[in-house]
Amino acid sequence: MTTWLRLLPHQIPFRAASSMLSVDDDSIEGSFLCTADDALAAGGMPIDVMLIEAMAQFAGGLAFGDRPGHGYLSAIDRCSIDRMIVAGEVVAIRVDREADFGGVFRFRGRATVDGVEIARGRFYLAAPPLN
Amino acid sequence: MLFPTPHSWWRGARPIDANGGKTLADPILRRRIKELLIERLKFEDMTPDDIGDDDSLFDGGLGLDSIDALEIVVMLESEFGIKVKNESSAREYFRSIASLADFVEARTSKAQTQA
Repeated sequence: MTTWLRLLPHQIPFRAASSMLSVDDDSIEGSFLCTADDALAAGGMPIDVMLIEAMAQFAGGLAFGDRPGHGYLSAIDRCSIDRMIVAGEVVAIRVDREADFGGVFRFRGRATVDGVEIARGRFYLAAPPLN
Repeated sequence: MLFPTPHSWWRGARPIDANGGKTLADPILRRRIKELLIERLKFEDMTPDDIGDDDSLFDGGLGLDSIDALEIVVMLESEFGIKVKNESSAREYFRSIASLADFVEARTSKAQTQA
């Protein structure tokens, strides 16, 4: 499980999940590091988008970290961001599994900076097809 | 709150199927499940009376999808304290309101017996 970050289909610069701190059956915690030289931000992508992507990637780690194959992000809803994040900030992320049924998973993600929640959303992931 | 004990508020007289003696879920429970689905799935302009007990929830019928199924799973846990873990055995109960009510009744009765 601890190696799933290296096994993600997204790697730098598309890997937004920076580090994992803890994981159990129903939740995962990690961080997103906002750097001044982020390649995607330099290319014009709002860094906030990568924060949301980080929550989705952690959800993927929770759902599929110990499985062969990759899952798919199916939907995002109830997502909101309170403020811009800036270079140098370390965003703590927690993702909780709410439900899974029929190969589809629902998670709730929250992002905080210094203990203050700045973003949240619900994420739906679909399991890879069985071979 | 109308139902202060959500896991057991519907317990009471259980009608008996005249044909086979099979215990049927309480009609009040079926209606409550319809209300919850309408509320949680945001079926605007729909009332419990618009949903038949045996209408298919997914294929045709109400036309629910996999995202809606997750909402039902969350609803079962928050309203009735039922965690759906064994998906293969639960899947058949997601066919209709009647089968869903039977599932709720069976799982809550089992939990009460074990308590």
